[in-house]
Amino acid sequence: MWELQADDVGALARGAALVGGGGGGSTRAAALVAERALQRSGPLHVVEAGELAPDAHGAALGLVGSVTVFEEKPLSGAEFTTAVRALERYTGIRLDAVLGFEAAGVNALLAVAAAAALELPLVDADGMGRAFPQLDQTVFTLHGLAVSPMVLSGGSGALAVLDGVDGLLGEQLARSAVVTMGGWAMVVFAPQSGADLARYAITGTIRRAIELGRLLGSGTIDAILTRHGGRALFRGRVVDVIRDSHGRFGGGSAVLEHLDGGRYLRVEFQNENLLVLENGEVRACVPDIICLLEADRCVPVTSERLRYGLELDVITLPCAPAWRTPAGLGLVGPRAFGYDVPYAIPRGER
Amino acid sequence: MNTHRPLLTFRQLLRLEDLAGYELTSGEANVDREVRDVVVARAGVDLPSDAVVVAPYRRGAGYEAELLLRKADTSGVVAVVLVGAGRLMLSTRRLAENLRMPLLTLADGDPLHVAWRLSRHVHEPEWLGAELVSGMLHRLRAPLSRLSDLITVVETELNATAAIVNTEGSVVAGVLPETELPATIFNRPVAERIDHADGHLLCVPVFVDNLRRPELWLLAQVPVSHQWWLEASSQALSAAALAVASWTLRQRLAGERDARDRSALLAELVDAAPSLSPRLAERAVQAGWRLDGWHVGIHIRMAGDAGAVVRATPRVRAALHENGLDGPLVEHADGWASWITEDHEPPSASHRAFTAKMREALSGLASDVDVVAGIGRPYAGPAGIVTSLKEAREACLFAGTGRRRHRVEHVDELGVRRVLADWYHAEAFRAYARTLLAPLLDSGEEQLLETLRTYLELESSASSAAAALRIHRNTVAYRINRIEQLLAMNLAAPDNRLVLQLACRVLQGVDDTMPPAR
Repeated sequence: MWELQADDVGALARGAALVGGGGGGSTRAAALVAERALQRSGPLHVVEAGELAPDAHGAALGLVGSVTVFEEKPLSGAEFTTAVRALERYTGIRLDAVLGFEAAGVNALLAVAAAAALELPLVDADGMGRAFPQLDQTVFTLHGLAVSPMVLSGGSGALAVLDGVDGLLGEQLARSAVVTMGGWAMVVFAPQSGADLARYAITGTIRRAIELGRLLGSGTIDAILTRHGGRALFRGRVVDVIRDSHGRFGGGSAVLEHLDGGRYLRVEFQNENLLVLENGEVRACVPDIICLLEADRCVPVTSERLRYGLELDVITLPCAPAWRTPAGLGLVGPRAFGYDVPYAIPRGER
Repeated sequence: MNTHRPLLTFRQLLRLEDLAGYELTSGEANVDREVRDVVVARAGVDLPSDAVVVAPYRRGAGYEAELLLRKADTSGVVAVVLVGAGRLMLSTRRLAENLRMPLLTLADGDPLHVAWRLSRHVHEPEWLGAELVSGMLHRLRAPLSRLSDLITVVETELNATAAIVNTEGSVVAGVLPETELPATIFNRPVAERIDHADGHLLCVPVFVDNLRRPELWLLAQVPVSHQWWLEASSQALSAAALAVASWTLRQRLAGERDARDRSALLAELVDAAPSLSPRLAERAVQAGWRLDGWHVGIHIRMAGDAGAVVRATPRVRAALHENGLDGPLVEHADGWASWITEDHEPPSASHRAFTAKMREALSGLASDVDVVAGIGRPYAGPAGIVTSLKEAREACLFAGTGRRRHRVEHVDELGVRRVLADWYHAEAFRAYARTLLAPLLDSGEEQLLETLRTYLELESSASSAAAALRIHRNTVAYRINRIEQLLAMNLAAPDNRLVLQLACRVLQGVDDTMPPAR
């Protein structure tokens, strides 16, 4: 167990944005929410998944819907408690801890804010280990854990309990409910036992995010790659961006020209950066985390901020091992996003 | 498969209608490779070498094109065709350029259909050849109304730019290809083919009257083509040349028939004037002739036979039209009759400008049309046409002859005046005139010569002369009496009056004695 201070929020926000891999939303508003919650509650207890008693209960939570709307119409503050209390009433289980279902982008910070508001310990683990667009793209779904009953709580006080649904149906129902609830909602998934969390959740992701954030703050990409096993792919300037308004999520493509000239890197994104090609060959693809950083400033760039002329570093960070299994790739591999390429790490690269 | 058959190159495929509207993004330098097959790209299936690969461009999945380009390059593919492509991203274009892979994009279409069509051409090049000839014959089955229609047919059927030129190389229809024509091309009356980097120029002779010497040439600039397509194109072009010949003959026949009709109508008009039957007036109107108003007749004479006259009619009409002389043009045995009609009587001074325009028109004609012309005075009504034309014909007799050798003569400047002018300029008569009038000149009575001149000009009327000279009639009578005495001549005799009037005019100077011009 360790303590997370209000001072750590800045680093957490930077690191969470990096592992968002182009998605996960802008962390600015969520960082303020988390910081204020911690200032109010004092240092937050963070526990490792293995430290939980096997029969203890923890639930994954976070924001579902549009981060842009969330920034313009922020939390009333009561959403998490409302949702968690409703879940406890519905299931008759008292939660001993909470965790983020997505320890990346906005949701890494909102998990901290929720734990602080609920005065519960935060489990240093999550269901994705990065950002994904859909609620069912978690290791909980992958390992067949129940996701329902799940509770949605909107800013207006509306509550929705979804029961009897699997990951995909839960995603679909939640997605349509969110539209009616005003663009975003807080979601709490079914409580999991401490034993299951220890066995299946992707662990250490909060600590990693803070560490990555600190390394970014010191402006050293090399140290990130050494410590976290990533690859530097390219440094170049954005020379072409196409956005495809027809997809469900903000999709598109960007082309970077290498600063030395003559080399071109193509990045495909749908919220998150999902596929990187150079010379007609795949250099990196989902589920590995593909990060774009403003060169020199080391600031992660979300895909919606991509524009002509930006000078960027392109790096990848490895995904959780669970995603590299055939079942994991079936759920979040390139083909799950419509890219007809096999998942592969190019020869000579890790 | 016939192994002796030359294979199609990718550049040759580019001319096909199936690829119309294509955009070649890269690899222009590599389009001359031979194509052995055409396939549709499929994931997980190897690409054959020396093939053209057709693939759909899926919206939002442009990266697939880059994967395909890479795969095509390693497989030795000739070219990649993307169907339904929107805007290609810079990385795709640069990749194709780096690989020097011809990348063709088509805005829309069905990739399967495109591949099937291309494949058929690649495996059976004779198929397009047959299509070219049958397509041309199909289009030519209806007679042409204009030569430009034929140019359109040739251009669309052969995917060419086409022109019809005469044996001097001047364009009759269409646009001359940019390829330079060898000067010797028209010397031999056989079809020729000139190959160059961007395609082939096919030249086919058109025989009209003379079976040994073509009068026209049909030229078609076709894109780079398979040898079998070229042979078929030549055959198709020969069929088009037959259509040109038949069109030319039909035009000539129609021209001669129209000429005959016009000549007959004018002859009837001449016979009937001044009273026209309603039927004749109606036919004149049908011919586009205006009978009322003021008409100025023009008579044009040409050296050569009647056939030459009919053939030259369009050129003469064009030359007149260029100078604003738009009137009926009627052929006759040795030239043409024409007249210009105006609403009001033209001012008397206008005949000089008219004559100048006519000279301009004739000088605009080529040297092989050797013509002279005469112009009549303006006259009103249907009978005016006949009268003015008659004057024009008379004036034309003098054109190109005599001392001045003008190609155009106006009747006003001819006839009596011309006889007189010749008379005035005769030195012998000038000397005689001076001798004849010497008694008056020597008498010291200057008024006598003036009185004699005025009296004779005014038809030997003492009253008129008195009025003109502002003296009494008796004074005129007295002076005439005195003149008769001095000259010892009787002014009652017409011969005496004539010779004295001429002598007066000579001494007074030619210009002063000109009658006022009409």
